[in-house]
Formats: sequence, structure tokens, C-alpha cells
Amino acid sequence: MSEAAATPALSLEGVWQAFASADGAEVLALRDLSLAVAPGEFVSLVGPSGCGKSTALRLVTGLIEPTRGCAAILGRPVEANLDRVGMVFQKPTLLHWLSIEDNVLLPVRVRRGRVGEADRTRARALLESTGLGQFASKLPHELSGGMQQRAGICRALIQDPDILLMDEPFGALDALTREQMCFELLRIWGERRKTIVFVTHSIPEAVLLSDRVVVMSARPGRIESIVPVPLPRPRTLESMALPDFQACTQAIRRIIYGYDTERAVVGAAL
Amino acid sequence: MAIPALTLVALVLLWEGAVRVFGIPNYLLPAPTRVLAELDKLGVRLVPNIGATLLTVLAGFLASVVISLPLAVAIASSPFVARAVYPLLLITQSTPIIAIAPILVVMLGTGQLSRATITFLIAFFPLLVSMVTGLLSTPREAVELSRVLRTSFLQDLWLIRLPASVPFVFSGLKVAISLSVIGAVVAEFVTANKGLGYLITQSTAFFNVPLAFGSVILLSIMGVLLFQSIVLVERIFFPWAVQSERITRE
Repeated sequence: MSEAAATPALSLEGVWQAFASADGAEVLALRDLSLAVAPGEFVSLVGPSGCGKSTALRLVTGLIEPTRGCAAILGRPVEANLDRVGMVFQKPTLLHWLSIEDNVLLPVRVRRGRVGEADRTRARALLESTGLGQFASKLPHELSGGMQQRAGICRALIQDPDILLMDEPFGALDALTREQMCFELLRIWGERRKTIVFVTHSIPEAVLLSDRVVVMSARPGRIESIVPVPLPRPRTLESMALPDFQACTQAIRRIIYGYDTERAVVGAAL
Repeated sequence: MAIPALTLVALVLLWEGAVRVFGIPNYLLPAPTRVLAELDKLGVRLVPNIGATLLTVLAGFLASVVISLPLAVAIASSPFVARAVYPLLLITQSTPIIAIAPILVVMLGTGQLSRATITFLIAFFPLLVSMVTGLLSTPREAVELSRVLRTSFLQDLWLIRLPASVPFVFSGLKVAISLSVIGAVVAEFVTANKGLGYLITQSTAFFNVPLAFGSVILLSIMGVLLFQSIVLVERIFFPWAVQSERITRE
């Protein structure tokens, strides 16, 4: 397979992660996690709360070191390739004293100490492409939640990273905005072909967006199964009506709940 | 704005009327007109007294700001410094500064340095506490963002922690400026040869209560104006901080 031959965009190999809990006992957050994500691939991590989805993501940002095993970005240790990674948080996490444009430019300011006119042009183009063009000079609180999160995505994209890590980025948004943001993200991904690792609680969201869905289970966090999504691209609202979409979401639910949900519903009706 | 002004006018009229109707003697409660007359008698000779007090207030206040800021950064960035310094600070705060004031005068002399030091000691602690609180209450997500972006210590401070703490700093500054006025008066009670605090001790020694009242009123006006100028600085230079204070209050 060509995927296996090329260097994966990011990989976790035999990662174990243990934390000391508040009372001093050791808690195993991840057990023997191995995952390789190919360049340009869109992979989602789903699973119940506490299954270590966010922990896995934080390993790739270098915020935490694996207890055992290793994490790599483009075949090199995480620390060496950090500037190839952009991160989108659950909350927009915009600095409320900076304009939207300056928020987007924050990674540039940190990396190079100053912001040039070329950077500003790039930031404005990014904002323009996500429909925030006329809000560049506004302060974050003047924007809606969805617009703030779009600005957060622009900030992650400003350094043109190869990999975009998204930690439940639409979790704080209302259902309608959330759906719009999914298609917005698919459009951005279609244009720029980043490798995306997307953590979510929503199974339909994971299926709609991803090439593969990694299903995790909790205590300790481990990969239960990896479900490929055969839906054709580009994906649209109609994709959700396809039989394959239903089949995928059902398959994932079955893995998470450990039994056939259809039968469970029928059973309840009887 | 109109209603507080009306209440004030009404109270002053009531005061004037009561003093006249009941014939209250001047050394107990002077009428407002009498207070004004006494201030008018001093005329331009008030100016050096107001100037002296203002100088002490500003010197003490500026010293508080200049010393609190780096100290707050050190305390907020290092648990070691926090553990080493905080208990000492608490001791200095539990000690009534007015009790140390005469000792300070012996140590530092009867000049401006003593008065500024006393003012500083009274004003700086609440400011320091607000600054430390502000630096430590950076939103968790902003701290995470800063770590993901691999900011250096100074970048983290300058781009994220300090701006995030601005609303706290300003509430500390507002307390500090009010305390500086108190500190300056305390200092002048202990050692001064001019100033509004000095006028109060001198005039009451000669039962010139109207002049003492006049000095107190001038001190209140000074306090209000200084407080309002802090508010103004915040509005002009940090409008987003005023905004976020309003949001947190809601």
C-alpha cells in the first residue's frame, strides 16, 4: 500500500500514558496506542468521555510526553517538527484584547517576534476565505461563537501547517452552526489538503468528515477499532442520506455500546 | 449625574440651615459658608499646601506601581519566591504602618523621603495582591494556547499574562490611589511643615475647626479627581479591559 510506504504525517507507536491522579494513585490514560495518519488524510477520534482522545492529541502537540512508546510528526520527534502543526481548541481561545486579525497573527508574532505587512496580507486573505473579511479589526466579543471558532481555525492555519489538530472544535457551538462549520471545514480541507486529526463526541460528525474513524474505549483508553468511511468526496448534505453513512454510524455505535442498537430500539418498542 | 448633585446641594443647605437655626458654635461644627470663608482667607497660600500633599500622594503611588509590578511577576512566576516573600509581606501588612511612621522618620529624616515611604507602605499591598491575582488568573485555555505556541517566558508575560491581568491591575490601582491619599495625610500628621494634613493638625491645635474642615474637603476633592483620572486612563488606553470588567460583572 502506498500509504504504508510514505512517511506518515503523524504516528503514535505503542504509546502508554499514565498520570498521577489527585490522590496520588496512578491512572492509565492510554494503553498501547498505535496509529499512523497518512499525509492529507482526515482521521477522527471518537469515544466516550475519559477514553483519552484529547490525551492522544496532546501527545502530538508535545504538551505531554508519552510514558512509554513514541510520537512522531513527519517521521521526526514531535519537538523537532512542532511548527508543522496547527492546533484548534474546543473553545475559540481568542485573546479578548487583540483584534481578530492580531489574534490570527499571534503564532507569527511568537515565532518571529514581529509581524510584517506580508503576514497581514496573508491573515486578511485567510479571514476573507472564511467569510470574516469585514471583521478583521473587530474584537472577539463582537463576533458570534461560530465566527470566533472560524477565527481560531484561521489562527491554526496562518503558519500553513501540514497537520491540523482539532480538539472537539465545534463542541461548544449550537447544532446548526456546528453543521455549517463541518462543511466549512471540509471546504478548507478540500482547498488546502492538510492532514487533520479531529477529536469529537459526535459520531455523525466524525463519519461525515473523515476518511477513517478511530473508535476508542475508556479506562484505560485504547483503540477499539478503526472504521474506514467509504463515502465519496466531496461530501455534502446528501452524503448523510446515503446507506453507507447509516452503515458507518451504526457500525461505530455498535462498537461503542457493545451491542446492536437497532435491536435494542426494537426491543424497547416491543 | 444630576441626582447626586442635587442630594449634595440639599445636604449642604440643610447643614448651613441647621448651624444657623440652632446656633452651633464654630469649633463644634462650622457652617459651609464659614469653611469657605476660612479657605478664602488663606487664598494662594493654599497652593503650596495642596502641591506638597499631591507630591507625596503621587510619589508614594508611583513607588507602589514601580515596586509591585516586578514583585508581582516574580511571585506569580515562581512558587519559591511566593513562599519566600508572601509571609513577610503579610507581616508588614499586619503591622499598623502608622505605628512605624515615627520610627521611619527617625531613620529616614523629616523630609519628603519619609512621607513618600509611609505612603508607599500603606498603598502598595492591595495593588500587589491584585497584580498577583491578575497574573495567576489567566484563563486556562490562554495558558494552554501559550504552551502550544511555545512562547518564551517574556513572550508569555508580555503577550498573554500581562494583558490578561489588566482589569485586575486597574482595580488594584484604584484602591492604591485612594490609599495613597490616606497615606500622605498620615505621613503629614507625623512629619511635615506644609500640606493639607499639616493644615489639619495645625488648625485644630488652635481650634480653627473651619480651616480643618476646609482641608478635609480639599483632600476629598483631590481623592476623587485622582481616582477619576485612573478610570480615565483605563477607558482611553484599555477600553477592552473596561469591557471585560463589565462582562464579568454581568
